[in-house]
Amino acid sequence: MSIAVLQQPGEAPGEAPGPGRPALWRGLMAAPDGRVGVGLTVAMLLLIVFGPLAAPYSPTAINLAPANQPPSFEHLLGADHLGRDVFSRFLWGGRSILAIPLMAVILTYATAGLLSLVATYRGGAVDLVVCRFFELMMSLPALLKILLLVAAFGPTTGVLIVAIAITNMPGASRVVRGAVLGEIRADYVQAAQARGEATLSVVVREILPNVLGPVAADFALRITWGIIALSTLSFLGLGVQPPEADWGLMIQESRSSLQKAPLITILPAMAIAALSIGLNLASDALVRHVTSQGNGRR
Amino acid sequence: MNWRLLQQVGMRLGANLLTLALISAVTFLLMNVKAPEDIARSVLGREVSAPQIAEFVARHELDRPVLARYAGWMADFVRGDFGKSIVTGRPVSADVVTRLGRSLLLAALGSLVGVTAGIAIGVFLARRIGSKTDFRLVTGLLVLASMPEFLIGIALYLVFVVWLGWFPTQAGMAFSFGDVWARAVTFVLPAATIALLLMPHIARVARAATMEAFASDYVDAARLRGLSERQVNWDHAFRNAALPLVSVIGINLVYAVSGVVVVDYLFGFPGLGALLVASIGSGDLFTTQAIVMLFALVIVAINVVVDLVMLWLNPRLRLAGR
Repeated sequence: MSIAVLQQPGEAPGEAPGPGRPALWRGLMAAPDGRVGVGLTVAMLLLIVFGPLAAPYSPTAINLAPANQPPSFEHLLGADHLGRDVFSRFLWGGRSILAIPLMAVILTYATAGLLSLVATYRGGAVDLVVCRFFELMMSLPALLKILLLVAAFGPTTGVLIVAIAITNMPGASRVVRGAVLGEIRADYVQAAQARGEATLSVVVREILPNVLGPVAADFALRITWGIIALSTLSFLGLGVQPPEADWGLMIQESRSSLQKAPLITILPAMAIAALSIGLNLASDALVRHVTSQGNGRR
Repeated sequence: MNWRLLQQVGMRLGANLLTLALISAVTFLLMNVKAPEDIARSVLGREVSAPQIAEFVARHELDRPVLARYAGWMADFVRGDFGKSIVTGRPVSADVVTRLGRSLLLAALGSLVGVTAGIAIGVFLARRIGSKTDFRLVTGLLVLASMPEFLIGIALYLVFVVWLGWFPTQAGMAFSFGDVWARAVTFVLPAATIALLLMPHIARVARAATMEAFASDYVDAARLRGLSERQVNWDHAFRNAALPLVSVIGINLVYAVSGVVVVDYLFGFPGLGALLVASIGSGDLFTTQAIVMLFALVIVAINVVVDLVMLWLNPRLRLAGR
């Protein structure tokens, strides 16, 4: 997905000097699609974080209003089949869809990312075993892997986080490996080795700061995929479980009344789309910037 | 044929068989995480007596050691016997086989349209790199690529089923009561969803690969040698552009196969995916593991074909030893 060979008009490669967070940010904002992506993402984040504060009712309280009520002044978007306030559910519904993928990707990088960092630096048999292991994990598509885990352990929040983390591991490992291989022969690494620094010290103090660019870009991309995976799962009824307010679950629950009340489906659908499109545009611009800068050889 | 090529083919086949064996073992293990009593309780309900549980466990042979049951399951599976559903008691193969055919047809139709459209758009864009059209379309493709499959499907469903009313609300009805035409119609929207799912990824890679191939030294060299434009295009540029493309098409075919799960459920299409979701929901472990294995078989078969095509296309491997 992140084949970043393209260069867009309005983007000047090599302009940003050296790695580091300010340069990363400038590179992101230099591309027009990057700016749109950041704007959309920030808007959705504000909605997700502060939306619940503005919710007029509890998102899970039933029989607040007659079931399937059309929009009114008391219930801005009407009520669903259990008489719950749709507007309040919508405002609450972004929490799980952001939090679960976020925790999953953090887990991915804390395990597979670190493992690959050390294994690639060590090289040899360790590197080979880790590579083969992650390659094998890729032999089933992500959705099937998650479905298998949910079938085995049930759709609890913990299982969902671990399942999404597992599907992201091979890709994250590959990104880390590519980035480390690009740095491993650099002068500063050899200097550190010549000084006799321990492996862990070289990896954490020398290599890690210099691969943060590609890792940050990949991190954002994986959260997008996590959001897509989780909302798909909730839509299938195997992700976030009732009575929780979640955009994916709202679509699943309102699907049968799509003919009569399409708004209850369309609103969370647009919210999920805006979130994943924003994140994807931003992370794609970031990947392109990092690759064109040359410190993210893959 | 040369020795090295045969060796390569043998190694890939072996690796894929090994993968398949591993997937079967992991799948079977995961389906046996729960204790037999818990499996019985999840199917029979909470207020069930101890003798009933014991009878259920004995009937489905859940008390035998896992390894023995795995061996038995595999031996039956390769003969086409997927066991009896622990929920309905019917043979799993009866439910699964007709659905497998439909799902494969659906995935194939969707992939065919998606891959063709993707390549066409990619090659179209490769000649316009840097133009306004290029930028707009590439951004559009990226937006489409970030949409979850079920949202693409819901958008199509809203427009063509709810508003325009061109298609039936539940595809399954046509398979119970409809004629051939009614059944054919039900394939349209699910296949279109899968096509739209694949198209942006294929187009992006086709664009990049074509652009790179035309900018390469060997294309310049072929031109300088005075080859006709047609020979330059087909023997040199497209052949090399095809390599990354074949690999990404392979990935996307696999994606299409798992994409069937979502479109089945969304459009009420009676395929393998709908049954998988239902069987996970009802705790029907035998059906779940049979369907996952069938998906794995199809996916590994796709990978084998992609590997062979790559070997055939790659001149370094094809010509070695000549």
